This record gives sequence, structure tokens and C-alpha cells, in this order.
Amino acid sequence: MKIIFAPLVDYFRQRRFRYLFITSGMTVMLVGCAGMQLSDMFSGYAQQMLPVRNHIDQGQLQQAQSTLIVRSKTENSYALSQLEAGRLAFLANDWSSSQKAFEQAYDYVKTTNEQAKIRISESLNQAGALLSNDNALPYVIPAYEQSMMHSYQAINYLMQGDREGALVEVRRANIVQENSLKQNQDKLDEARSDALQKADVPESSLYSSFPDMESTLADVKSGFQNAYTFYLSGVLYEASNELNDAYIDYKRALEIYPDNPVLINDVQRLAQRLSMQDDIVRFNQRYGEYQPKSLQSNGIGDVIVVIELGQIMPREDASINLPTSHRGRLRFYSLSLPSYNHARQFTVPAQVQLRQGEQVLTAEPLLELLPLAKFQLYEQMPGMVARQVLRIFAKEEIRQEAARSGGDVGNILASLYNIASERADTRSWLTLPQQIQVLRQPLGVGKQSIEVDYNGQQQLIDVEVKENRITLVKLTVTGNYIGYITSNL
Amino acid sequence: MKTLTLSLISIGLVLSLGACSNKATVSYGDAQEVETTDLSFGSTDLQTIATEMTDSLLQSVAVNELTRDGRPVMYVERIKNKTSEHIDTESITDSVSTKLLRSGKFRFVDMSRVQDVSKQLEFQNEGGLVDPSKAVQFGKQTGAEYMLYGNLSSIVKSNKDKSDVYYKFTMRLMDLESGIVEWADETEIRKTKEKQGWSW
Repeated sequence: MKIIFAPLVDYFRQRRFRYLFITSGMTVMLVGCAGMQLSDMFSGYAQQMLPVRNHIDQGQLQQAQSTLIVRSKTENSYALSQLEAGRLAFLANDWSSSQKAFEQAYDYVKTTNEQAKIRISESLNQAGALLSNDNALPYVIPAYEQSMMHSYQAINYLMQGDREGALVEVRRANIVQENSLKQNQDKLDEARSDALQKADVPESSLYSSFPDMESTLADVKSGFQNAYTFYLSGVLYEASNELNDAYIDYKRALEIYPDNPVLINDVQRLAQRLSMQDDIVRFNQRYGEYQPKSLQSNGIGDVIVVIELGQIMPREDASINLPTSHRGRLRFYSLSLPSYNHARQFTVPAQVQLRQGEQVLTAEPLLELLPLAKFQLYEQMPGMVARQVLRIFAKEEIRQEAARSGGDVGNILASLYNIASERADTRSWLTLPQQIQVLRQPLGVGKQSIEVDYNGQQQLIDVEVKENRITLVKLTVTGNYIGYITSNL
Repeated sequence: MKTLTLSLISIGLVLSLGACSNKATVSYGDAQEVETTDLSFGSTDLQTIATEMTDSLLQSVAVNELTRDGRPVMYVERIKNKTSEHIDTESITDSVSTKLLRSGKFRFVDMSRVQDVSKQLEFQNEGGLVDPSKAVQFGKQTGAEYMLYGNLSSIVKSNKDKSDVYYKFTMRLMDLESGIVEWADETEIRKTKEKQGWSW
């Protein structure tokens, strides 16, 4: 086969083509200043993270760390890459690196929160996004990822022996969660008034006459608040003997997971301990009398096992290319939006069973991350759709301009660019677990062995239980990997 | 029209490139100068707290009574950080104790160095290298009579237009023998940041 380059060379000589060349050059530069890598323009984030996630499932944490794409401060996914790096270092028990990475991400959040209301560089990013795709916009760390970040950071401080630092992180997480409650208060109010209308009861007799109300509100709340972070915060406060603070956070966790037996027991226990008479009556009505897990008061310590299961589901790129013919010329309109449509592919993680002596204990779910991620996408959707519509127009403008100045070659090049650059924004923190489960049991002081059973895999964990102290065991189970850490709080 | 588009894009590019690059400069400044770089706990807050606390302590009637017949020995327990920032509270206690020492009314024992001291004493007495007649003896140190302790807490609020942070620093002086709190005071600091209307 013979290829003749002459017509192409002619094209290069033509002044008209130079415009096309310059325009595409401009686009690339614009995108460059907006802080994207070229790979981001043509492949989605979820796809780029696939090898990292596979390594985690195989327990190859070093490889996962080296596979992760490192991003510089000027890139718009910088904060996200710090989150991923922090989490990977955390999994590899490298507390100080993890702490540094999360600090960078936190600094980024702080700077964006303090930024001016109108930013001109932001408009440039928007322009970049119109010419390529939403990945050209700086990554905004959503509230649920921030609360998870602070939770990991708290454990980073804890593992380095700085409990006060851990409590600082817990307070930061609580500020994030309080803000997201404020922002979504209208949704809660709506759910409440909806339920009230259906049940046709006055607000005052709400909880007694309509027991489903709590779970309705809990369902709404679990879309933007994270019970695990509250629980961890409660545990840390309890370990510091600040029982009132612990009680408040356990109660907040219970509001999100009203049927979790671990939370019920902790709330009832502290309500007794702090003599919260009204609460004791209310909780007894709903959950029955408080049943202490151990009748002994000496010679025991609480063991709390937090289990991180699986990996969070990535966003999918739902792209459609619509070929249309206009005056004999073929053109493509491409649309792409992220979605969580194929949630069914992700099976619910298996139950984790722990054996201690004769007892078999089952962990209870405390956090489901997918609803939080879905809620975030739902919040982002209107903006994404609006930008998508504008993008179709903007890209069509480019194509027309290219077709005018570059003829058929220009038309084809521009159409190809338009299709190839159309990528849904599948960015989200992808090294997070899918679910977190919890288990709490008082055990006798001294060396104890706990046996974990997950999908037929067994792991023996030795813990040193200290009197009246909390022993925290953090277990990570995903794919073929089981890892754990223990700490006496 | 095309030329107009091109020139608009070029202007945009020049502006954005200009925003990407800027020069860094280093200079010396006054350490006491009011610092308002951002909302987080800064040098001015630390200085304010240390100055107000020591002034209040030294001027209080109770403390004047305590120091009339000599220089009582005290130690500073660490300040508990109850804020949502990682603050080096040791730096606050250092400033407070330095100022109190300078006043000449108190003497201090430093609890943060107890381990180092005992290591040194062990070396002198048991290491075999130091002449026993010149070694500092165990069991000769003076015990503190008073304990200075405190809390630093904060409330942080923000909306889309401004952020506000409120710090409250509480300090107390306790007589270790009787358990009586001889002096207490608190300092409050409020900082507000209004967001810029526009920027790059």
C-alpha cells in the first residue's frame, strides 16, 4: 500500500490550516495550564486506578503505591492523588507518610474554603472543561471523603502515640459533618414533613406514634453523614475519659444506624453511667432494658474491632456517541456522564466472624460508603448536565471552525478529538473501603487471641487487653488480603 | 472575527500564564508585629495569651500573698489542646513559664525534662566514669508546691461569606498540698475573615 503525503503537506502550507493548528495548540495549552495530564483527557480516572485497586486486592501494597500516578500541586487532581497516597500509606502502616499526604489534602481543602467568591482562574478552568471534559476542573473533596480523611488521620496520630492530635482530627471531622448536616437540613425537614403527612400525626407525638420515622430520617442522613467517623470519635473520647463527648458522638452514630446493636449498647451504657434519665427512658422504650455485655467490672477491658471490607465502587463512564448526518457530512455528538448504574456487580461483603474462646461474634455494619458517594454524584449532577450541554455547543463550534479552515481533514480531526476527549468525570477517592463493620466485646485482661473468619480465610489476631482500657483492632479485608493493626487506647 | 477570537485566546493565555508564575521573596520582620496571614492559631495569638496570662497572674492579690515570703516553686502541667487545630501547646507553656521566671517571683521545676535528668543522674552515679565525690546526688531535688495548668478550646464557624474562630484559653494555679485553686483567669480571642470578592 502506498500512502501519498503530498495533499497533507499542501494542507500544512495553507494558511487556513495554520489556524486549525494554532487553535488545537491553544486548547492543549489551555488544558495544560488548567492542570491536566494528557492521559486524563483521554482516559477516565476509574480506569487509571484499576491497577492500583487490583494490587490492593492481592495485598501487594508496595506495588499499589508505586503504580499510583503522582500528581504535582498544579494539577487539578492533586488533592485526590494525596488522598489515594495517604490511604495507601495507611494500609502499608506507614503512619507518618500517610499523615503528610492527608495534611496536603487538608491544606488544599482549607485553601479552597478560604478562596474568594469569584475566581478568574476558575473561569479559565471552566473554559478548559468546555473544550475537553469535566476532568479539567479542580477536584473538590466532598464532605464524606473529608470525614474519612480525618478518621484515617486520627488513627495516624494515634499510632504515633499522639492522642491529643487524634482528637484534633476527630473535631475536624465533626466540623465537616456538622456543616454537611447544615447544608442538607432542608432534605431532612422535607423527609420529616413527608412522613408526617403520610402518618397524619402532630409533630409532638412523632417518635412514639411513628416508629419508622427514625429509620426514615436515618436513611436520609446516611446519604451525607458518616456513622463510622462519629463512632471512632466516641471511642477516642471515651478512651480519654471524656464520657460526655463520647456519649454525644455515639448518639449521633445511632441516629444514622438506629438498629446497630453495638451502638445501642454503647449509648445505653453511657446513658446509665452519666445518668441521662430522659434518654434512659426513651432508649429503654425503643430498645428494651440495657443489658451489660459483662457483669464483671474488674479484670476486663473492651476490645473494639473495626473491619474495613472491600473497595468502594468506582463511578462509571456512561458515554454515548450519536452519529448524525448534516448536509452529507457525518458528525458525532458525544455525551458522557458518570454513573453508579452497575451497583449490582458489587456483592455485599461476606460476614466477618470472630471467635474468642467459645464465643462466636458477628460484626455489624457501621458504614456503607456507596450511598454517600451516590449522594455526592446526585448533588453534582445538575452542574454536570449543564456543562455537558454547553460542551456539545462549544465542541460543535470547534468542529465547524475546523471544517471551515481545514476542510474534511479538519472536520474529521475535530470530530475525533470531540469523541476522544469526551470523558465523564469518574474521579472519586477509590482506595476507600466499601463497608465498615464494628464489633465490641469486653474480654479478660491479658493476652487474648481472636480468630477472624472471612470467606473461608482465617487470621489469628493476638491482642493484649489492659484493665478498663479500650483495645482497638483495625482489620482490613479485601480480595485476598487481610491486614490488621492493634492499639491500646 | 477569527483574528478577534485568536487575540482573545492569546490574551487569556498570557493572563493565565502570568497567574501561574510569580517571584518568591524573603525578608525579616518584627517578631511582635500583628500577624494576620490566616485564621489559624498564630504568633500574635500565642503572644497575647502568654502576656495576658502572666500579667494577670503576677498582678493578682492571691499570688502577691504567696510570693511575699519567698519564691514558691511551681511547675507547668501541659496545656490541653481542645481545639480543632494541631497547636503546639508546649510553646504556650514555654512562653508563660519564661515570663514568670523573668519576673523573679517564682522558681520552676521542668517536668518535661525529668527523664533526661534521671538519665544524667544515673550516668553520673552508676556509670562509673564520674568521680563519685563530684557526682550530683539522687534525691536532692526540690518538689513543686504549685501546679499551673490550662485548657485551650475553640469554636469554628463559617459560611460562604466569612469564617469566624473563637479561642478561649483558661489557666489555673493549684496549691498541690491543699488542692486549692489560688488563681484562675481566661483570655478570649476572636478572629473573623471575610472572603475576598474576587481574585485570580
